[in-house]
Amino acid sequence: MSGRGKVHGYCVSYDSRVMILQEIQPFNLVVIELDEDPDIKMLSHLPGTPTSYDKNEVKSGTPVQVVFETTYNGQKVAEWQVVA
Amino acid sequence: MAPTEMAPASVYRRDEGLGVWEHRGKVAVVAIGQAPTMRRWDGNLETAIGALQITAVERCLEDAGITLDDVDGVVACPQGMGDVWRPREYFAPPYDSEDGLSGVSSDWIVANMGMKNVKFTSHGPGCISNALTVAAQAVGDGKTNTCLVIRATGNMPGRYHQNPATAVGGNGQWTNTWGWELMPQIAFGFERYCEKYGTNHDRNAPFVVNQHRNGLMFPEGFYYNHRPEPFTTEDYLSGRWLQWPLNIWDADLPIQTAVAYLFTTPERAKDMKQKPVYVLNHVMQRGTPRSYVETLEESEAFTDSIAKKVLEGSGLTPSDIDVYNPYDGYTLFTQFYLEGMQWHGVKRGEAHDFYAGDITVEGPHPFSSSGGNAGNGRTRWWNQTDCIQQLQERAGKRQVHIKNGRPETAVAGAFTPGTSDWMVYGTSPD
Repeated sequence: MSGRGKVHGYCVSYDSRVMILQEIQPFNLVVIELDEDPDIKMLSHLPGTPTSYDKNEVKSGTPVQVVFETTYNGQKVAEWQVVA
Repeated sequence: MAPTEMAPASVYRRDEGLGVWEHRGKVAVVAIGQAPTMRRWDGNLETAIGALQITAVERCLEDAGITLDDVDGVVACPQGMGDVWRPREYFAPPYDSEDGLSGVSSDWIVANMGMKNVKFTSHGPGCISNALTVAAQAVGDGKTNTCLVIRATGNMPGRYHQNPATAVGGNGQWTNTWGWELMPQIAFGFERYCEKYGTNHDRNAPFVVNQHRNGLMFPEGFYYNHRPEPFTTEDYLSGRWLQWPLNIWDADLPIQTAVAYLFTTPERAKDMKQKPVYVLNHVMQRGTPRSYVETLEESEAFTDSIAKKVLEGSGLTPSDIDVYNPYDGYTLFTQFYLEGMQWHGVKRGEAHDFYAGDITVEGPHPFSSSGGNAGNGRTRWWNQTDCIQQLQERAGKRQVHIKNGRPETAVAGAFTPGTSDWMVYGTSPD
């Protein structure tokens, strides 16, 4: 796997039911499709990209690259960033 | 009797290609009992959903003109949609468990109403729609002759459905970590829909406004009784975002209430007070997305399949369907059902154009005449009740004007494109 993909679609979370995420609202909630198999979908907050949906900051088809972020409890999770 | 179990897979009509339902027109729905509605449970046992369920059954029996002793079957959707009561302390029997407080099982209602002649009980998960399909098949199969279908749902004190987990394993590690659950799924699907077909959230307003309008003509509903103010386009457009592009008016309002329906045979129905509505088909949809995310294409394929099965098993065509009440909780997936059925000729991507026309009950395209969850509160059954009332010509101000107010067929179902159950009704068994 190349660790590359594209934005498939998204929403912006303003009122998550997951309480631990409520402190970082609003956040992007983006569906990523992998370049090698677009049917495989992963999720991302798209770190580094603003959540202003009205400015169309997030566009489907935008290339992204996997990064690994450390959570508060030390675990690594796959995240995705827009390729500059 | 042993504790009631969920209905076996064999009773459901899940696959395409099953042909016309073998019991088409040989099962009737006759009566409805709706309990009062309230926003939340106030902690008073007289308004626990068990008590409300008893009220709904009593009203249903009165509506049918029969007694408790006439009932020989009960099918329940045994869990409510709200939160559970635990870890708070339970009460004295019959409120010494969740049964009666956050859901009502067949066993609970049989025991606490003293039903002496019940020989058949079953459970259907998720929605009343599922329990209705179970009852229709059971009556058709001869397992019960006079069968109640019940569901109660509640809203406990406090915020609804909060997830306090700080760690997650299993399947949830791929979804909950980012906050993905049903509501983002629906918002995402709608965003994809808007992008594909060049439309936007604002254009959903006429549908939601009309749902509230229909709800204010539904005397049993929550808004009619508690918030009778007209709902406007401005109200919709100013709603706060929950998951952009899904706002608070796209979600349904959790409430506390219960319902009961009476199913029977056409022969037995002749002795009851209300006109029989015949069951022409029942359908199950269980689609499996390729990943944890259901794509737009999958939602469209699932709703295509629902339409095929609804039509195939009933022998109807889309133009035969007079009353169409697909599910609306959330309002952002209703267009998938409308377009899947091609009701009134609406094809993929055309729902918002259709909403911009006349969809009132007085007009030629009375879509979702119940007002649904959006117009009445969260139950998942207003659409079923409306279908039955419309065909019995007792929908009051909501009575659709097509065929001079005498619609002949109706379809309703819930819940999501991938996971839903559907009923097809008619005024004639033929």
